[in-house]
Amino acid sequence: MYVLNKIIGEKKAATITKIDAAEISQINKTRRFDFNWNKEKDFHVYKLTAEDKEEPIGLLSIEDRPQDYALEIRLLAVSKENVGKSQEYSRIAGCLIAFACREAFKKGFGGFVCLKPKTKLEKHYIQQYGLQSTKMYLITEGENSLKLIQEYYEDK
Amino acid sequence: MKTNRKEIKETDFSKFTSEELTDAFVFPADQVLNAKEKKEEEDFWASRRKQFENRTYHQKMYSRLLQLKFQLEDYIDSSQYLETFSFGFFLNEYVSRQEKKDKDFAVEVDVKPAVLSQYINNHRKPTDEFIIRLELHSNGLIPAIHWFKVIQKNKEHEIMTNQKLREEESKHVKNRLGFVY
Repeated sequence: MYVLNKIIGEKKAATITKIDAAEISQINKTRRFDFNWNKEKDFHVYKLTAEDKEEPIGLLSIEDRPQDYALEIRLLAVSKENVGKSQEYSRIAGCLIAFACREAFKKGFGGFVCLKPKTKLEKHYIQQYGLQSTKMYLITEGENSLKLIQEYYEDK
Repeated sequence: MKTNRKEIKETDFSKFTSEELTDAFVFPADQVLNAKEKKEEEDFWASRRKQFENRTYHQKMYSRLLQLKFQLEDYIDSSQYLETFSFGFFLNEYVSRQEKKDKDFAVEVDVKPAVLSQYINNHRKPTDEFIIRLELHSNGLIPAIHWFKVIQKNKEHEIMTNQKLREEESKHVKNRLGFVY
């Protein structure tokens, strides 16, 4: 799994690790990420770090829904310096979504991951990540989740 | 719109295009649902449960094998050694997740049932030929290198912890180097 440093045009190995409540508080205090991540402490929160860089550049909060055989992405954000045209690293969100898909396979949910999109972004998630639209959620499962894993997680 | 979350809104999201926002965020879905939306959400989850529970035999098996593949990958990528997670353990999982009897699977990979049993019980070291057959049997889903790494992980642990072998081999070593500062 890698993120792309757009400034030097180099691939950098990326790692995703689970973080605990103390680390969530610590990261939240830095204000390097939008949204209040302290609200996510009851869920599974992960950080993405790039090789040679100590500070995380991506955060992901997932709700495990075993009763529905699904993982729901509650919140995802890249660090502020990586939003928009001047971003230093690309592929961060893709890696985090692919990670969620892989976790959904590991849990035996057939790679089923869903998220509630902002209406105006819906078609872009569909185009970019191959998500399928239902009335309320965007979903990925099975082959599309495997495709995301191959593209973002397994590609070195 | 009512929300139940206080956002720390520092970034002006309106400055970015939809593509840029999609590339950076999944926004919190924190609006309070009305009765119609609640019903839609309940219907969505009910439909999901039904779809999952009505999967075909092949879909279930594929899902179980992918689960095994990713669990195996996590294990070989981790620095932790777990005695339970031997080659035999993963092989047994591979066979049982297909709901196959050992003797039938032995036929499929052209080994004697007794040999398969020895592999499963870690009483025989798997050959390169056998792990290649496993890769071919899974149609590449679990590559031979994954199986090899499980075997290697076990070997690494064995070589690091085998005191008995060290004692036995001690008599064959003379003139040992001594380092003093």
